[in-house]
Amino acid sequence: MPKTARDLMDEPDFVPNDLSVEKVEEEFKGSENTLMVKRNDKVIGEVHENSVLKALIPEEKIDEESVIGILGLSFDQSYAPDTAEDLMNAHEVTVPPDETLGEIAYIMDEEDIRSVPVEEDGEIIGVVHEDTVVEEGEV
Amino acid sequence: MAGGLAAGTMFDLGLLLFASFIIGEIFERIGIESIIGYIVTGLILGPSVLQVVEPGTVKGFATIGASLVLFQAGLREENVVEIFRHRQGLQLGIGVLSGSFIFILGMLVLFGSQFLPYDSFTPFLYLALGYAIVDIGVPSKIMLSKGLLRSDTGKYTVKASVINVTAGLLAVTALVVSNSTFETLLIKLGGIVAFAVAFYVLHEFIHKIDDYIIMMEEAEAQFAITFALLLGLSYATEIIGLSTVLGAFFAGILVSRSEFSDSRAFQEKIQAIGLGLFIPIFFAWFGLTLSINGIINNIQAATFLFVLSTVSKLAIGYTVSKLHDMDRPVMIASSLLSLDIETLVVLLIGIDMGVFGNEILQIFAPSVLLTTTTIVVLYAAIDRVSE
Repeated sequence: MPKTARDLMDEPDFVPNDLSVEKVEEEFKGSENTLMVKRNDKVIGEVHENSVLKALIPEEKIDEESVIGILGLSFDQSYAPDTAEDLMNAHEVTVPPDETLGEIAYIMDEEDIRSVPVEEDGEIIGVVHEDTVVEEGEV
Repeated sequence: MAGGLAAGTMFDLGLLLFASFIIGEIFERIGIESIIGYIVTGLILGPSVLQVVEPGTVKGFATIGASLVLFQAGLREENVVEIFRHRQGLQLGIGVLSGSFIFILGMLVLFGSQFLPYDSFTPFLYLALGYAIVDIGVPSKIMLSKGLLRSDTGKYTVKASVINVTAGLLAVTALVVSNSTFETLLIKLGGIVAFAVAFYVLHEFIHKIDDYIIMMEEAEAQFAITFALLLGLSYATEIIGLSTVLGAFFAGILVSRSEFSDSRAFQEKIQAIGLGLFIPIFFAWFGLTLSINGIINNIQAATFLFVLSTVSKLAIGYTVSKLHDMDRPVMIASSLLSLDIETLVVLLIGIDMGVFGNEILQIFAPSVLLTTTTIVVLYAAIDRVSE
């Protein structure tokens, strides 16, 4: 019987969207490597450990097109974050609890993500991390 | 090779692309935006100097490049709403846009016909709007080079610039729609309404459609469908009397609603084909259309517009940032002076709408150099004073 998202998932760790970036760093000093971001009790995205990387790059190494794009109708705030929302990845990829390990690996590879939330009846009930998929999977 | 393919086009494109990247790299290394390097490449290789490449040969590629610029802008509209919540940035961005627009328009109405080859209100409207829009690349580059992007000054300046440009593009869209005569507007109204309905439907439901697109067996289906949507909407907006580049912008907004547009693979493909191919050709084409004589003949008009834009942006930028108690009001105001691709987009839309002829490109080109030089001089002065 292949392992499913329910077998692989960890408890989700929720943080408010306006949590300061310093507090987000503190959260990552524990065992967490993905935080689910909530605004008005609704999950709006997630912050992965590697989301903080951009904020650590020295400014002289950053190309302005990465921050604002070529015409720049946006500002990638993860390069200069104040809050969890600035660091957040707002993609909407989730999996149901019965999603198999192989399918989860496929989604992570396709979407280039390190973790995927598990959704049941509109609620986030857990998070499957990349390292768990690798540990539990058999090549 | 197949007889239908033109070897000359391949040579022109290859040469233009290669030379653009070499000159663009040199410009980047001396602290000037690579885009200016691409334009200079076109000017050198074009009919005005070396006469190696004809603008007509690469015009089709340049059109796609212009569309991709706007498409990528639309593609990243997701956090614009959040940026607009930055209250002080909103006040600065809108203050500079509206204040400069009113000042430039007033001066153009009073003195425009003495300095410019136009004497009617419509070209003055487009010019006032185009020259009231700021550039975002230069403020970002300056803030990064000074290590200030993460400071309050940096965030304030860059967000104000994003707000200024976004509001400016919305204003030019409104201008294009309202610019039709009443009779034309009635005829076109059906087309515009149909386009708006189609846009709304796609905007609301594309995230449902893309579940099917993601499941397609064809490996490049997402990319191909995106490109078809971009070209189709550009064509549709042209047919209904709006500009092709606006269609590309709307296509970007639509695609940004899809899940697949968030994936790194998709972003990398769009970046590669845009920044690595079509967009440099668009800027080099812009350089090809310029002539040194044309620039010299229009230098009075260029200087007049540059002065209006610089004076109003400096005054408003300084006053508003001083009112906001920001640390470096002169630096903030100076970084808003640059005229670049954002203004060029408005002028290209004006050409598309028949408001200007190609002479506006000769008038605009020196402004890029004049504003860049002004910023360099102002920053040198700021550094000297702070020492």
